Amino acid sequence: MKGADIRVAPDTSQRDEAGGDRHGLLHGFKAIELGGVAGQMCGRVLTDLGVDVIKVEDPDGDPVRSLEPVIKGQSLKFTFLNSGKKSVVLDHRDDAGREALHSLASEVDLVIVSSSNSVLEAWDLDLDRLHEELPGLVIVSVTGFGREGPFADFAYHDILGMAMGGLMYVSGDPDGSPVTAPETQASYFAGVFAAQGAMLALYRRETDPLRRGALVDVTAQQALASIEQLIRIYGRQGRVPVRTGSQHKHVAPARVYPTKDGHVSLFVTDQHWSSFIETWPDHPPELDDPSLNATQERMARLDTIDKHVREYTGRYASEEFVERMVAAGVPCTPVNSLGEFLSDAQTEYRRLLGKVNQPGLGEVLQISFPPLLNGHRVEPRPAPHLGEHTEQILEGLGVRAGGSVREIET
Amino acid sequence: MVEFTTALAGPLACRYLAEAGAEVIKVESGGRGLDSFRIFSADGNLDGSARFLESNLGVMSILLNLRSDEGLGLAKELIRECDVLVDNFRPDVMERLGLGVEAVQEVNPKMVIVKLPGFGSTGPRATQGSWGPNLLAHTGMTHLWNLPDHDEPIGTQSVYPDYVAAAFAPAVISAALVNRERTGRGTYVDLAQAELMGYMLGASALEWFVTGIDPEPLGNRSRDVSPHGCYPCLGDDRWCVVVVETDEQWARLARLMGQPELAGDSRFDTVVGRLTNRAEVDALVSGFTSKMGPFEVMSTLQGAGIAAGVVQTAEDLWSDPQLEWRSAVAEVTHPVLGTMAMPVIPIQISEGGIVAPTSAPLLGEHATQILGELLGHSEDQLDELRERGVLS
Repeated sequence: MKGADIRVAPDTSQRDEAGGDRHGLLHGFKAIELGGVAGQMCGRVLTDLGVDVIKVEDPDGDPVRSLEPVIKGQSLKFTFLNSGKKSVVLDHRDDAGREALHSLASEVDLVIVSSSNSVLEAWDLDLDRLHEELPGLVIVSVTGFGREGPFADFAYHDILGMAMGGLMYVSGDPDGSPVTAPETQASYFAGVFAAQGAMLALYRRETDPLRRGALVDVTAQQALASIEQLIRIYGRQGRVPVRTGSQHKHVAPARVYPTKDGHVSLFVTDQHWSSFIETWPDHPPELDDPSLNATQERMARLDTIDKHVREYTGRYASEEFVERMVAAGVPCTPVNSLGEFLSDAQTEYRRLLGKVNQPGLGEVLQISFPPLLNGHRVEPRPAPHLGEHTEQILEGLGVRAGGSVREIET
Repeated sequence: MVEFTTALAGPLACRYLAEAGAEVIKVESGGRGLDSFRIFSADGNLDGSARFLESNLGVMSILLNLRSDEGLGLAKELIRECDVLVDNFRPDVMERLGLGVEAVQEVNPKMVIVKLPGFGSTGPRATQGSWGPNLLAHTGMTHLWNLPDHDEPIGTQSVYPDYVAAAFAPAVISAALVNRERTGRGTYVDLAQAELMGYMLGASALEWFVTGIDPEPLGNRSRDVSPHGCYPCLGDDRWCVVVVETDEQWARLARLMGQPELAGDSRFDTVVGRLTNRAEVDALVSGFTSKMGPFEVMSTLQGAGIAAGVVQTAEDLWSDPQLEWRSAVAEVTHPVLGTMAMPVIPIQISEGGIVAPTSAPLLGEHATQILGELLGHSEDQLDELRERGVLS
């Protein structure tokens, strides 16, 4: 289905009547954000939670503004990540610009920083010093490897996080190369953890009689290395998990199987095995072996299981096969394209996509904040053009930046 | 906090909050009310699963018969005392137990209630069971996580949606608690793991809408720069990643490759040129990296300011100096499984914001502490509850 065909999400203004969350859970809190994709993902989450997030950009603009996909001169990556934020232009090369950044920091609740150490030096921004000077501030650093340690000065790019964090080695066809995840997933994932850290520290501050802030530090490498049980499995068993394609590590049949017109993802645990077999009246008799009720045994005979299951799934179109499984309570979904997911009845029912009037692009549908809060959808908002809020923010905060502050016309 | 959780997303979200200092009580019930990861132990011992241990560090455990009125009553007493309730069963499960959203709000109107179902608590797919890989496939993540010329969709063996949900939920929970401090009101959070996957593909979703074209997998390529990819190295199944962003970096790489003339080659001396001639660029880089081990590639290129890294195995993670610097792994000791190393929450917070995990609970280990100290039941009452099968 073509994206432009989807019906525009219905008006959700009734959420105002629910009271309280109209402006977001954190209405009234302010943050500034400096740096690349991981920090911008963190900032997007905070924006959706109601924080007023002010993005600080150089006069040349955030480099993410030029990342693909670029349509009508607008980076869609930038548009997604910066939905609902404000843009302030400051120049780190001017004393007044650097001073304005420090003044802004003293006026907000949170500072999110994902720039490299050398960029922070150019801003004269030392996070430890900032923490001492403004002890009530929640300062969140999110980088590829960290600000200190043997890899602190390594050049970083998203695919390095996926590789050095271990998830890439176990993703892909065993006969081919490892494959990284779509978009800049390592940075997004780190950004989500940074948002968690920011909120943990903010809640501690809000419940602390002394209102102490914190220094929060997240890295993409550590975030990824902490999942998928890789470290525990190696440490305990001395075993190195390898690529298995879509095959799950412990469960079978649990992988992608071909159908007449596509593929399905099947996940049959011990509690589903007998129901699964019941959906399959002419299954091979060898699958009736009671020892196969245990997934360990099904994993041991994976080749046989796979051969038979492929034959079974191959008789049906994906939709037909999924219906059979769902009716029997067996976890199964089609392998959808992104467009198929976005136009799925469930996605539409829950209004995941929100209408945004994005200058330069016109009316578009954006992914909204995932959680429904008291049953209501937080709507996405437009991303700012460069320097759109410079005057408003600096005047509103009583910050003077002299000649260094420029509003850039777009 | 009180959690009614199973498998990964729910338990791990609560584990993270326990590491941040929350007192977390995990309620399990017999049969299918047990956390499904408990059954993954080699010998059938419900306390012998390392996977359960890793996902439940630092929480307390109580086993109640939730199908009895008394068991349900005790669960409600707990709910009255807690600030946050998390569940990741299918949306109808808590409802059927008599612990649906309205019932919980009736007992505790200020409760922050968090549900982490696969598809969400409402809508035509609400009651459809799903596991991480199904959600990867449903949301387009499996389709997009692939090499561009590979016929079969692969995605990853990882149950990635569970991990993203576990990382994300504590942010919303903490925000809802801050909101409660200010307004006195709780929040009901319905977080569909599938919708979170959509958020993690936000730019592609916007592209689909704006262009009307369904995005296809890019593999290890980038549309912005070249070279950008995964390249073979010396050794069995050893790989590195290399990214060159600027022409200067390309010139440095050309010198390291022993082919300085490539710096001035008009096919390669601009980003546009390198993107247009990507296949040749990748062949040149592969020719260079395949004569070296992955760690040598990383140190050589990083020494020249070029982004390069090792596609690390679990063994490499184990000895990674940066992870060690960050104390990313801690030892925990468990009465059945012994001592083992586990990754800690990947967030550092100053002034003691994170407490080191100790162990995961044995099934029902904290019944006395929870019902006695927290709810004020006497030892005799607990014995009676045990006799009647309400408490195990």
